[in-house]
Amino acid sequence: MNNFILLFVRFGHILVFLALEVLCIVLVVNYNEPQKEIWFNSVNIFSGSTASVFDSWTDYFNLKEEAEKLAAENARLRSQLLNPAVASNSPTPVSLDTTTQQFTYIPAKIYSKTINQPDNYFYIDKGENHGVTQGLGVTSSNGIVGIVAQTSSDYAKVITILHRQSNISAANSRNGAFGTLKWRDFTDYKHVQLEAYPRHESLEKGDTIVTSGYSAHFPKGIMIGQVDTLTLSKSDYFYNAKIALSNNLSTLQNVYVIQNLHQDQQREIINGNQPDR
Amino acid sequence: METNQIGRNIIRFVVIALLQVLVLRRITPTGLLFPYVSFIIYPILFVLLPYKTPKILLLFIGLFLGLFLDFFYNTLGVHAGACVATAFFRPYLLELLLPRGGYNLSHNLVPANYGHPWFLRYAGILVFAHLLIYFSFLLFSPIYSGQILLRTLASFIFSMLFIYVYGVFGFGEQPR
Repeated sequence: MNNFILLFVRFGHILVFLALEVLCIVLVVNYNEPQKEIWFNSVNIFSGSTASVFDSWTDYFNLKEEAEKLAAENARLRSQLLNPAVASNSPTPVSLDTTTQQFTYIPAKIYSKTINQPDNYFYIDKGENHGVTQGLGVTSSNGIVGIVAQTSSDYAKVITILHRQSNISAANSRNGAFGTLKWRDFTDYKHVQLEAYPRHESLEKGDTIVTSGYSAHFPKGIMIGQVDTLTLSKSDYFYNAKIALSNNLSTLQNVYVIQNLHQDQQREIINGNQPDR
Repeated sequence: METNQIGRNIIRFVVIALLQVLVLRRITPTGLLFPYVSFIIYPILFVLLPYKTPKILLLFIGLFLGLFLDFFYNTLGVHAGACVATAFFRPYLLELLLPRGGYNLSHNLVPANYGHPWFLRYAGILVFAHLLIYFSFLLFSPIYSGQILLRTLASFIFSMLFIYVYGVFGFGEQPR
């Protein structure tokens, strides 16, 4: 014990120095815009490259599962191509005419994520160089994931649906009535809340909830989940429903960034500006 | 003698820190003057602190002085980080530059007591390192190494001029 105190007397100032320097760097990065930007970019480059190295080792463990997922997706896409009229998930037949195409998909890998915070972010390995920009929607083969918040040249940060500010328009696939998707229970990453769904429209347990298409982020009809429990008291104007997500965000590895080729046009019309002719 | 020295240091701290944030902060040299110069005089406070200041106290003096400056410069953490670093390595620098006959505990660290070459070396290394760390914190990326060095050198000339003049004329010789 005595030795311990002696040790502190001799080297304590080094510990204090290191602690104060860390404090200062935290202050610098949090309260100064230019330094914050440099920090974010450098950390992203560093964590991105180390995470990809680590991933290249651990990828093998999940190879079988991922292969099955991709095979299932292939089968579904193939069936859509062959039988456009009875396409499984989409309400309209798939068109093969690329001039009328509105959405394109950029495949990406998640290299870092959280799912147990009040605000959860995923970090993906595609950025501005690959066409990813702020505001694009992100999905996986099983359903919706989130919206791109910030990009650097090769990486991007995604606000997931498990985020306090997440605010996604969701519709009942049976009748098209829609509400807003919110995350309320910060400990349960398998469920989200459907709010502002009008009481005069029908909503039942087991109904499939999909994206409504009433935003520039997502096309219509992307799977979100199924109604798990719902409450509606006599005085409520809106349903309050708990949605079980179809997507398991905790094990997710591969995602698609959705590029909306008409996003600028749609925004201009919504904002009331006439597009230049 | 003891309280007298502490009192004088506190007064010097207040005057120099206020001079720095109220006057020198507003001067931005343009035109004929070299545009990379920042007028920074407060490192003299570290130069002139008594030799026997405890190491941990030195670190906290650095932190609070830095934070005080940062509130006025609107760069929270930048001055603080540089000041803490300067406060940390000052004792090591003094050990390195040990004069013949050692340090006299009641003497100020000024040219009158230890000679002009010693003072220039001591203050020069301390101030240069401080400015280098300060500008590194400010620009924050190795991409700007050229800028960091240029600004450090340009500001160093002004800071040293002030500190040398202050050190020579601000103190008489103390009895040995």
